[in-house]
Amino acid sequence: MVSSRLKVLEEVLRIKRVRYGIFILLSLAILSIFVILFSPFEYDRISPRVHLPPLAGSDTSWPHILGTDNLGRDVFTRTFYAFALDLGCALAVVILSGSIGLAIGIASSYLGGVIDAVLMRIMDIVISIPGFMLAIAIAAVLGSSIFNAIIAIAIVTIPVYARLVRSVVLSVKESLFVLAAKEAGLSDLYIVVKHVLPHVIPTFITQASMELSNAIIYIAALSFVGLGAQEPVPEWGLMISSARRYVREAWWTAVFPGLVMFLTVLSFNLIGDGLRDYLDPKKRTVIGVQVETS
Amino acid sequence: MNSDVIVKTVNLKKYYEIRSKYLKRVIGYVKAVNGVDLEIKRGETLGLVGESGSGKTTLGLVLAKLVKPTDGKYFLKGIDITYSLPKNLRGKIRIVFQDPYSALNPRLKIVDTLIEPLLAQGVDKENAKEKVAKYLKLVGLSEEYLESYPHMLSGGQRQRIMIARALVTEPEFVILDEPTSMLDVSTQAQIIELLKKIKNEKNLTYLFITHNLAVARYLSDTIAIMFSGQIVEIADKKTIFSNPLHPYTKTLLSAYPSPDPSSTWSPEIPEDIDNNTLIYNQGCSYAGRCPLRKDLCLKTSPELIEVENNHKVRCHIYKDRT
Amino acid sequence: MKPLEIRNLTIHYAVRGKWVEVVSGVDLDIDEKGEILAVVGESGCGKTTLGLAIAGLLPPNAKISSGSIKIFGKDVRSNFAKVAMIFQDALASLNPLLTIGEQIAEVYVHHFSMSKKEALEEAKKRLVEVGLPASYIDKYPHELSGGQRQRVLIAIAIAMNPELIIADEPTTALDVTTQAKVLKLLRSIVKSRGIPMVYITHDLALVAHIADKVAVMYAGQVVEYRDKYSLYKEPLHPYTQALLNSLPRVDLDLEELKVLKGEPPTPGSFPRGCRFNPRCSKAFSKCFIEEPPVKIFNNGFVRCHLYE
Repeated sequence: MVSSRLKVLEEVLRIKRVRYGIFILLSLAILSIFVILFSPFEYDRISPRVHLPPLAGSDTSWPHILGTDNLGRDVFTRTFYAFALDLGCALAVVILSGSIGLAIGIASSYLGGVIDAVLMRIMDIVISIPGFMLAIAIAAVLGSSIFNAIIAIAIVTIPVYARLVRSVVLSVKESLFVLAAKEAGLSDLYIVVKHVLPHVIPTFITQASMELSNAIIYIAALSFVGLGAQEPVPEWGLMISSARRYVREAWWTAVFPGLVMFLTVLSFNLIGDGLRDYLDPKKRTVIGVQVETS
Repeated sequence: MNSDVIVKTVNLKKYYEIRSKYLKRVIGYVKAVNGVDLEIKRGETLGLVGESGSGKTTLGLVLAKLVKPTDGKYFLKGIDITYSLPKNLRGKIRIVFQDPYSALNPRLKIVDTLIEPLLAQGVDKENAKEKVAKYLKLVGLSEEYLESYPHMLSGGQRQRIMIARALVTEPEFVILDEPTSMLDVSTQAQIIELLKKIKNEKNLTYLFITHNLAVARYLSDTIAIMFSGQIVEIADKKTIFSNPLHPYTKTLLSAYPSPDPSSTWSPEIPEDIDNNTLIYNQGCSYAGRCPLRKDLCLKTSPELIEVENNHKVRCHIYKDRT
Repeated sequence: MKPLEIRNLTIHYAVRGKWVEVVSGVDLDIDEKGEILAVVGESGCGKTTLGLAIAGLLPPNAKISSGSIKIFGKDVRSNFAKVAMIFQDALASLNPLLTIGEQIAEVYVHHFSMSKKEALEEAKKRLVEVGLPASYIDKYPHELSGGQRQRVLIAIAIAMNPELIIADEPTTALDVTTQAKVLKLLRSIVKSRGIPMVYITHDLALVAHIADKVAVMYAGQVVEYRDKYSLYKEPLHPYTQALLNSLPRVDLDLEELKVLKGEPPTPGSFPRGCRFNPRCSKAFSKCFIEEPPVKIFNNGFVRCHLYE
């Protein structure tokens, strides 16, 4: 089993898109760790040296690589602190909504009947309201904080997982090997754990990696409208929001956080896309010799 | 009841509901199995022959206790097991499915698939593994296959695994649902001979479900012809092939070619007189195609009657011959 | 000119960057119009690939690496040959959004530049010819039974007035009784119109009644190619013999099937020498070293060291 897992990993890493995605993500992560450990600037220290352009000198050993913002804070430092924060929040969102969605999906598909109908109608209701609108409403009710933003976004994205998991479980449940397991006299719980779940996990992970990029965009967007992170927390959406009034005189305060966010989202999309193609049998490029059917 | 009879069904039925699109009201039934009476003696192989849609697979699933019957009785060794299986009979009825490619979970090692029926009976893992290795040998595979994954095996090897999986619980009655129809000619012969050998060694009783008359002739002692959920003719195999009585049996026999170019192959297949068999709900289910149909056939459904010793036919033509 | 002349045909498939030989040095002929050549073999023997190659429908990852296929003297690789193909899966071969009539008529519009109205009239005639009511031109594929759909495929195939028909397991998915009807029809149409046909199948019992000549394929090669009567009466190649002996019979009570041990090799792992040697009961030392030559008999050949 170990060897076959390694082989899967190897095959996944051979996909170009996945490699590019991982490359971008790792580079950003290393930069971020580097900044958090060694940057001489604090992300929240206000100074009078406002709106300095990129590469302007400073009173420390580092220049202001990406300039300073309207309060004289170092944009480079803030942008990469924000990388860690946004990624962490996005992970929290995905773990929260993913695990709840997984549970709902399995319960719904396995218990069926009224429970299935009720759960799925609730999911339909959530999905029928535009996601961002609903997130704004929930965050507004809960109050403006990054923590509440995470909860709001998690609630909005639960149906994606629940419906996906449900459909996969329903199709696996119909497969002959599940019938064969039933015939062997195994209990329903055993069959779910041993036969059904392993077939759900790959699709689930792929979806989760795509949802990470969505979560980042959601968090930034909520913060942008003032319902997420609050000053002086370094967060991309908040940074762009604060910078937008000064875009004419200090474009770098908005452009660089946006650019790093764009690269992060892009890398997750590349990885997710590659994984999906790898798992989709219809798109698999490996063609066996067994062209004959009889 | 004859002590020799190991499997007996009385008027076994399985109906599937047809529901309306929106209100989900029951608007009719698909009578997949519509009143089947069978008796299989210990050590006998009953060949159940039918075309797709005849209900032969559903009957197999009902007998394997995977589908609950709508009505009727099902006895194993004289014990009523229609609704529940006593603990001491668990694992005594097993089934081998048609498609060995999808019957094995691609993510499980062969050994893990094989021990499952034993684990379900509460055997501990170590003992189960030992036992399984023995059965792997019995089906002609070496022990090294225990650690393989299904994708490394050919169709024939997979079907051997499925046969071993059925045998590990030491069953008395094995249902074989077209076990060779997806295999190549040479592999088919291997599996057929294997099934025959195992049956003699273990004194098993088989229900062999197939659409292939040649395989049925080779493996069965008795042959039952199934059409539209009912047994339309049943007799020992010699009688079925030498003296088929039901019009459908005759059609089936004429349609099946023998691998000999000098033999004659002149299929006499009636065109569907009327596609809509629902019209004949009350009458004989074969009336829609039957070239010999009479008015009576449209009104009442014929009973399965014994025309000669152990030769039963469900057809109005033979009503007066008894 | 022969309707079909295949010489030394070798086909490779690209599998994960490697070229794998799937069909090796095949020689086959159809000598006259209306003749039916059956290509028989187990899965993986290359029979489907051979059929696709004749029809010019090889997938992009396949290449004809040597040899030639000529239909009435024209090499199919440089000339357009009218070859109609009938597949096993009729539902997948038909467009679910077009009526039966439109799909048959399409052939006339496309190949014979008819107006749509004329084409539909022709389509009706073809439907009647394959034993379906003319009124079926307005039906959609999903409204028909499996056997009826297969008849529609036959109608489309003959509509283009082909020089050659290739039928790849045309009735495998059908019931025994439907299969009998469809094959009888196909045979009589091919015979009455004089269209040569390559019939690809694994079913030796059907071949005995449908074909005129039989080519038995094993591991990418044709191991025996003869007229059907002599082949069934006195099979020469040990593989042909084993296949016929391992068949259960509907007309005889057999005591035992003579089992052919092992499994056919997959492309890319064909054994050295004769490709059948690991399974052959008559193999001797030479079979493990040298590939057997083709021994030509009256109107056929066998590829086996026993007959040198």
